[in-house]
Amino acid sequence: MDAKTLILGYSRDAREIAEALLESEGDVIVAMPPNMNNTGLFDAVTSGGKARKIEILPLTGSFFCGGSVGRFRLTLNENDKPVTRTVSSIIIADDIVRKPNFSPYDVAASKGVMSLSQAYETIESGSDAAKKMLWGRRVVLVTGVIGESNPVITEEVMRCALELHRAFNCQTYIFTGNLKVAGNGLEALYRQTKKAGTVYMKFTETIPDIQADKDGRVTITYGDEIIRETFKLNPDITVIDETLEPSAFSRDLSKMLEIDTGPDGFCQSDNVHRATVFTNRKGVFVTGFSRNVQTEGMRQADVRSAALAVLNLYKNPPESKMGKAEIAFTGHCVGCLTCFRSCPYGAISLTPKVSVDPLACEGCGICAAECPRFAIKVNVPDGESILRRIPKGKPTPSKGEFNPSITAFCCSRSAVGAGELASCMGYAIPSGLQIVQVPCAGGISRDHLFAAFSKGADGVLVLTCHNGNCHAENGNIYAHQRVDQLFDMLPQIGFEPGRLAYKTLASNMGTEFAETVNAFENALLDLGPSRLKAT
Amino acid sequence: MTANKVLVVGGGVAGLTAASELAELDIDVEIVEQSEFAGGHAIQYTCKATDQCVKCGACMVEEKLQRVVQHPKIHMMTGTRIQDATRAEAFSATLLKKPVFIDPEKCSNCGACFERCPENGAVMKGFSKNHVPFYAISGEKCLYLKDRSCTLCQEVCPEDAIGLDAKETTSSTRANAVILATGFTPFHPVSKPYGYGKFKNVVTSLDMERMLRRGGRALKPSNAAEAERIAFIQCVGSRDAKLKHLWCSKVCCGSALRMAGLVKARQPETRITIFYMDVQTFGRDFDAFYTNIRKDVRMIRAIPGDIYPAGNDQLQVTFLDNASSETVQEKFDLVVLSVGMTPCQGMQKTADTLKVQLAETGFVQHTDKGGLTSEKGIFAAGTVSGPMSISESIASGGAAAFDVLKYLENRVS
Repeated sequence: MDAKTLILGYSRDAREIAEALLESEGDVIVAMPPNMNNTGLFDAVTSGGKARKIEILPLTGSFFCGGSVGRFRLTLNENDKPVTRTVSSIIIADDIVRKPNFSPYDVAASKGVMSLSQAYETIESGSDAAKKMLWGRRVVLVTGVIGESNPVITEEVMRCALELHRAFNCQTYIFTGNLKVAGNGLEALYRQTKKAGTVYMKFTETIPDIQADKDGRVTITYGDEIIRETFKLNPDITVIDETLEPSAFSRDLSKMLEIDTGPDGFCQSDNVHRATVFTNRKGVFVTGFSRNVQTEGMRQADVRSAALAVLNLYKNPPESKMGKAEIAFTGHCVGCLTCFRSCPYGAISLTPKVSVDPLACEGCGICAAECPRFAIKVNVPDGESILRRIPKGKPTPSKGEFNPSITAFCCSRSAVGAGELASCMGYAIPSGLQIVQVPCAGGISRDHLFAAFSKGADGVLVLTCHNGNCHAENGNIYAHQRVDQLFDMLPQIGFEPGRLAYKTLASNMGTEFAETVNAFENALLDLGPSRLKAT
Repeated sequence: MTANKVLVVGGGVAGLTAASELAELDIDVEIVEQSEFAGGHAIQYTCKATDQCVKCGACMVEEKLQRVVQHPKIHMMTGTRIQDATRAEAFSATLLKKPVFIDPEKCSNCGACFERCPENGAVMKGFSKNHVPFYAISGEKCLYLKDRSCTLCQEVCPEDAIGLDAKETTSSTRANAVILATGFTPFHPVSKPYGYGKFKNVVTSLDMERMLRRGGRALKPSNAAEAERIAFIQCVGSRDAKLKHLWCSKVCCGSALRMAGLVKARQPETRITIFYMDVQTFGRDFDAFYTNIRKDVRMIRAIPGDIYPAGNDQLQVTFLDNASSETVQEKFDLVVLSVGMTPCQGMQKTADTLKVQLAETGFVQHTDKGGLTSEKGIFAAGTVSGPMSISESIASGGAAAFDVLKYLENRVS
């Protein structure tokens, strides 16, 4: 694997990662977002002795980023000529976008109303006009009264207040909902602002009314929630906080690179398996403000985690996770692209023909289970395929007590561990329980479920990860759908639907595992042996 | 490149992460963990998912521990602490390992010792399948070790795995770099007027985590009946000027609200109240989560004054009600104190041994480069330098591993 990494973004993160990698190993290409002016952020890096190892590439015009781990390819047009670069890994490290929260408070920027960034610009300008504008004023800073704030913005608001006191002799008020002090040193900073004279007004049930007249004079009418009285305040300046959002470039890249995004639009799904800088794509990492709203400490940690992840990739190039296995397309393929759409890892490539990139494949088997033409075979050595590992049901004794035979398909990342923990914890586990470990429950096909019944299981369990906790993002949802479909079919072939159950578990849920399998055994005891066993 | 070895002090999630990251890059790692069970506090935490994962990160600790125990480059020593350390070219440390009363090779996790032990807490149960053996004998509580009055466990063990005469052992180790990941100590709330330690049904958030982890339901410790009315009190030992704890512990709001959601899902009849100062943002869909949870949980922005027993096995909680501006008393079955993080017990001694500077707060002093401590070659990871969530500890562990890597490279070249 070539030790070459593409950093997408123009930010402090991008520079710091470039520096970290250049000091360690390999070459770096930094692609600057379109319409971004080079402000010399990388000058110190490109002028040093490492210059030959770094290339700064402005993305002017159209560009495309594709491929997969080990050979990602960036293509762009330079003077109507295509330029391409091939790298083994990608780091998305763009800056954040700040959006003033004027509209939630129904105010507009005016002489007396400004955003947090504008307040900082004014303070930092050091001009006489700024001094005249700020000196001795009464300033209200509003954060997280409507909608929740976060420690990053809260720190900026508190530092702003402190600076307004220190350098401009202002009287400051902070109007807030929940004061977000869950960041390093923020509680101490809060105390410091109070000592300096900042007055805090906290709102739980009410919202202050901010009105500006046509000259920009602001009147805030608010209820003090402790003494239960209404007050009016006429600040000279009202500073409204901001929402931090992912950049348009990050958003575009998530689409282009097929990266799952979170509820907030950042370039990483909200899934604990992505901690800290990982994405659903092998070899694509995301840091800092491209993945979340981050405090400074965490932003720095991300920079180093990303550099480490790249070094790890250079050192341990991914082999096919399937190990000895490979996924093969048979002649049944009609090119419907179900596999392409369902692959959570972006491992299916379409050119020159539909195929799986073994390096990018994580071996979940969702493509094979989803394929409507049964055209995808997960080839593993004898005895290792799921189908072959489905055990024969334990026979029903001709006399004596019925001992239900249970086949439980367990996801290797969650339910398998939960089962092992249940044994450690000393729970009684049904003696008829047989576990089939699967890499991901999304790879369980209808064939597998039918096979378990036809081999003599009295009941079949599908035990998988909680929603939002699946490494393959939606593997558990596919599994759930499959079980639901079979529920409808079971009565038609003479099986009670109660012989099939689906449940989500985490690897640390030993107690719940035991409860689940024992309750299922009890249900089967009521149902009696499967009809395939009744003679 | 000469063979490098890194000593990781503390086997919590930050230390485990740092260790496995370094091992992946072919560096030998030795983890020294003081307690019998690796994984830190967080290995004891409950999964708080209902059907939907709520991103508490508890399962990630399990995963990190699994990676560590399986990795051939990592040597883990539990029940072990650093007795002494010196430094020349490399670090040399003397390690003191508690007696191994239960032979991990022989133990089959049958639990007979736990069942038969007459002394509460003398045989301890693990939390993870990677706790091998799953049981340990407490050097402080075991009756045999006190006065040789009981050898029941040794007698009932069907595998002959228990030897109560085991002795502590010392060994020495050398390392080129050290990662300090000794974590935090939960605030001990006896000094607060909430009757912790006196009233059985006043528990800490960590007690609650363990209760839900082991049994899945919110019960009153007094009689193991389901708690119908539960109060969570936030910021116990955090954001407290009197205690000089001028920090927010960051994780308690997330822990309390997520546990409340879990209890509501499993015991829908339960009524839950959370007393708080400011609800801290946690998770990436906090706004949606918080809007939803408020439908099920009553939020009161006040910190209660005190707690008294109220008869009928209930507790009376006194607080200032903002709506009426009056002092109100209300009865609860179970009170959960969300205890904050304080610097790791014995931190000063560890710091002195390793010559690392502590901040005024008692946590390891931050430098501008995050993981570095004041002493060259010693790096900090996780909550040893201040409160962090599980995911932040993982990030911090990864970052420390990178810093160590750079340090080792520069040292060689």
